[in-house]
Amino acid sequence: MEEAKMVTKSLFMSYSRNAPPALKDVTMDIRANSVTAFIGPSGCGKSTFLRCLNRMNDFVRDARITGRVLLDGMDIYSPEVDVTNLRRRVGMVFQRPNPFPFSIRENVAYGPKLLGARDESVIDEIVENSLRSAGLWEEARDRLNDMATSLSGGQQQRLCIARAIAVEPEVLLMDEPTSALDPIATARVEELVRELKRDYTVAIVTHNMQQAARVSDTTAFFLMGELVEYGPTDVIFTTPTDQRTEDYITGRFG
Amino acid sequence: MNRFKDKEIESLFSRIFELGSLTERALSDAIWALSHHDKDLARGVLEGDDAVDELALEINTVSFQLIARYQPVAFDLRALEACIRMALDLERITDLAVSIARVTLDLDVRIKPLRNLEPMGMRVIEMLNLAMAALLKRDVRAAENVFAMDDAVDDYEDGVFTELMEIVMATPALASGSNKLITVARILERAGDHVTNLAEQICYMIAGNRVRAAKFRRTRAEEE
Ligand SMILES: Nc1ncnc2c1ncn2[C@@H]1O[C@H](COP(=O)(O)OP(=O)(O)O)[C@@H](O)[C@H]1O
Ligand SMILES: [Mg+2]
Repeated sequence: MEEAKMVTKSLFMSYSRNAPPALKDVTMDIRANSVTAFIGPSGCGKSTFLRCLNRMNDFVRDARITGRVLLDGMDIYSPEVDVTNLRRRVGMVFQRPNPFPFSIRENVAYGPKLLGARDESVIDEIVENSLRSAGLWEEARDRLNDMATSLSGGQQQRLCIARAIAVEPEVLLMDEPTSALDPIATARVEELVRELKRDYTVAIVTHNMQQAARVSDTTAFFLMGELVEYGPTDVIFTTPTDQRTEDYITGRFG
Repeated sequence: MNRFKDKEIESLFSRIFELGSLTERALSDAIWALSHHDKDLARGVLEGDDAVDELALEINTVSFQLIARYQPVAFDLRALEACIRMALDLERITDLAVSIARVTLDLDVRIKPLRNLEPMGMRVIEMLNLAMAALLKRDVRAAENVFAMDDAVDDYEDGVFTELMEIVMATPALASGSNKLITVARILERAGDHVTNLAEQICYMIAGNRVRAAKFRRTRAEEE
């Protein structure tokens, strides 16, 4: 087994002073070069937890977080952390594909340029490699200057993955990345997720349990802000330990 | 949707119970026919085999359909695996009952009823009934009790061998008939093993851990 790429320790999170905690005492390892899936009924805190992993919750004004989140042992909430650099190292792909209103090439080149890439041949290489990794190169190579919005939904989502990859992140966070895609496009993204773990650490939120079972190595089941059960996906889906996990995954919930 | 899934799994269980009772019937008829030299009854066991094969096949087909349709996990998945495997074991036990019935049809001599053979068969039937009750009540303990009972079946098998040895020594002409009865003891021993498999499946389905029947059996040292 690979070592933990990210670790959370007793993580509590509330969206405001009076709101009940959206995360309660979550302690978890996210192993390097593996896919970790977060499942649970909607509103249980999956997205909240995912966003804690690259400080996306910083945008919520009254949010309170206690506990620790470590990336390679470094506390990402410590004051000296450069949040922009953190988000480069821990990239994110969202539910709906959100390409920028530029060409395909410019979408992928956007991050590297922000980071200072100037040499066009270097940028071309990054664009090609990223599109290849995202499984979009063959479809996009002849239309790199077309608008990103001219791609199909599934292609757009793979473009967003290419865009995330282009800045060479170490961890990829994905929040229901296929929920807006048709089954064929979903299958392609799932295939991609499994390939990505060779080079990246992947954490994926999904409301589709079969998807978690298909793509992940480790599954974490959340319920009302708590991490109920966490373990190898093969074990969670055949012999879960906690009755609440059992009830949820077999659809006998509530 | 999940209420449908639950209903379908329940109805699969009821087919397992049906198969279990056909199997029990075949086994008890085969044993009765053997000890009472009742060839008509033995022929009945042969005739009943097709219905059992058909029901076992149906259980398999439906299990796979439910897997395809619902992609079951956790208990549901284990339950369907258990149904597929239990159907196989029950069908095999019926095949063994058929083999016993064939021996009865083959026997041309009358050997006095053995003290150990019929009780041996009864023990296997008892195990089968206990396994089915464990399935009905989802009772791991009851299923585990099946394992220990298999020791008694082995003891009866030894008893059958000893008895037949004595018979053949006293009346060498009965040697060939005796050999056939030894076959029956072996068959019953294997039927006991299949019931043990059933009980293991039931434990796994209910509790999610693979129990090894051997853990509940006598050790070799205890046998000495
Ligand atoms: N921006 C926000 N402001 C206030 N509450 C929020 C915000 N986002 C989520 N929540 C609340 O936090 C809880 C967890 O939500 P979320 O993490 O989105 O769940 P999930 O992704 O599992 O569906 C819910 O009760 C939700 O209403
Ligand atoms: Mg969410």
